Amino acid sequence: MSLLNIEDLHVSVNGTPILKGLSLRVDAGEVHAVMGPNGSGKSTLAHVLAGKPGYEVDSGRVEYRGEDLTEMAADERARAGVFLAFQYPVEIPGVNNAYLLRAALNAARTERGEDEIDAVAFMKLVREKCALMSMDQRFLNRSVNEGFSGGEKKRNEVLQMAVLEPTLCLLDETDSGLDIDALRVVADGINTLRSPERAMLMVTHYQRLLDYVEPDFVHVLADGVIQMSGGKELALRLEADGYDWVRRESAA
Amino acid sequence: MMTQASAQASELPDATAWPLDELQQAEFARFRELGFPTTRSESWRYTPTTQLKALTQQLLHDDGLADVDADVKLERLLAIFPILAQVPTNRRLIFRNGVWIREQTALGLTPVARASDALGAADSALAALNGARADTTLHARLGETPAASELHIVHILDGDAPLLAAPRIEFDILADHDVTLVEYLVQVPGSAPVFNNALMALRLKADAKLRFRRLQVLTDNAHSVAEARISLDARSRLDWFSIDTGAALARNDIRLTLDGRDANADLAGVFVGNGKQHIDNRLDVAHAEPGARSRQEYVGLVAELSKAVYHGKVTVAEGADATVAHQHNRNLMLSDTSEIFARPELEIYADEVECAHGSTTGQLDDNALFYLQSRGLSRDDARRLLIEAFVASALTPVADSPLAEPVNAIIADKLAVLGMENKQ
Repeated sequence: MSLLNIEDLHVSVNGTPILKGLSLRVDAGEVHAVMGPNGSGKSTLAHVLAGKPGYEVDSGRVEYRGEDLTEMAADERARAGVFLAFQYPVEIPGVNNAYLLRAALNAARTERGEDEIDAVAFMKLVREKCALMSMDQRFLNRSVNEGFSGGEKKRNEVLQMAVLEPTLCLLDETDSGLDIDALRVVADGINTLRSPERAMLMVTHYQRLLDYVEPDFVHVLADGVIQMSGGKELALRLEADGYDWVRRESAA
Repeated sequence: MMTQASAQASELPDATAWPLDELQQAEFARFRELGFPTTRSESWRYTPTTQLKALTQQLLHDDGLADVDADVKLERLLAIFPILAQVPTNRRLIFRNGVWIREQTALGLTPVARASDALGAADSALAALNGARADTTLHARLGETPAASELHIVHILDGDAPLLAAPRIEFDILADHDVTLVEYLVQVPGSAPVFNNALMALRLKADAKLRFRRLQVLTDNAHSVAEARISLDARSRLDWFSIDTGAALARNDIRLTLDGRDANADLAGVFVGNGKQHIDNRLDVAHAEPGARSRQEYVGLVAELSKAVYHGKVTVAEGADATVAHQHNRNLMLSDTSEIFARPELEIYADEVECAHGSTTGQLDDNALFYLQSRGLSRDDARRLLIEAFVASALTPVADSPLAEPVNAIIADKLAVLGMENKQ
């Protein structure tokens, strides 16, 4: 049984079909990159897997650990180990970053039948993860993402991921808006999380992030379906030649 | 042909359930003459008074104030409210059902006969009704002694039968003095319907400072109309913060005049309504002299079928140059069935003023909700967290003060009973 099994998925937004029969299998331990031109449905895929409202699953199946993911609310998915690193992390004035981290961690622990983490152990854990992400601990006492720079927001996403240790990581354009130093830090954070029990699905327009986080599989998403799949060398060809040849070849 | 006022008067009884002295008689005549406020009058435009009027008519026939059980031990009564636990016993003034309990001899305060109070001829019907009900005025000059520099005024409502409470207070804050006043308005759960009709005058003399806090926790059979008339002499400073968790009707009137040059007023209010509550905040701020500054910061939250009003007006008189006046109002609506009437208003007759006003009303941010849910928080927890964050942003005036605890407790109690989801 695959960790994530998407079969012939059709999704529409306000009546407009976006995903038109997408199929994809992701097994534990694997890192997949989904690449594609703007408007191909990459972010829709990430959002629909995370359970964002506003996406209509018209047909097809999405199974996560053998369960129908589409039947689960966003928070149920999160507690079951699905994590979405947002392309545009939301600023939430008045909600403390550390508070959210702890509430999120405890929600997942409670779901697994574990005790809530105590304050001392939590601070120790978060300090470690902050160091990993080269983040000043002062970030913890600020409001979630409020006034963060683009790079800080992305680092904060990966920090949350590192603390929550999800089973399926969805990374939505995590490289966008990052300078080269921030990209390296974020990529290091992601790499640290690679493990045989965990899978990652990275949605990206550019190949840049893949220089730092090497995928096991690369898929090209265009016009709502996976047009082509291959190894990391596929990403290099896309970088060199663009997306048009994929469409031509898959049409042929 | 009858005038509108006399038509109004004819609907109101011509006698009261309680005896009236000459002064009260005049106030009562004034009340009848002005007529009960209706939504036709500008200052009550958003607040229907039908229920309040019916209650008042009943109370004019039969006021339960005389029936209050005098034997009830005050301490036992006060102990019902955890938020009063921190009130220092040597700094408190207790009003029970609008009547001052004279136990605080140590403070050296005495009520004065109505004849000598300076609240003046009532220009509003409900102020006149207060004048017809109140036997005495509590008048004090604050700031002279340490004991009179920090006062906690506890209004407790606990009638067995419906009653009209009419506290009447006048405080002068002496020149160059620094005073803290904390006012608590609490109603014993299960007590009879009440019309709390409060009138208070605050006069800040030159260079005086007043930190004023009001914490209001009523039940849904209370109607409360509290009018504060405030004047600020030169360079005096008022820092006002109130928290109102609603009632059948809770009307908070502030009529503030910046009478002196360079006076300063910060007015902050937080109101949270649910059920069928109606909360009305009416602020009337007049800049009469140059160089004064006023700031209104009102934050509201309405849930279920509740309605709330923020009607803030600033008038800058001719010659009051270099005035700075700001009005800000933010509201959060938690249901499609709640209502907010927001009306910041400016009238400027002077040159060179800096005036700004703004009001925003919104619902919980769907993107923020999804973000929190995507981190594993249930939808209810996510909503609660966002609501708490919204309200907390308005509590900064008391954040690091001894009142933080009671204020947070009031908010937590209120949020615990709010309908969190949009529902019809």
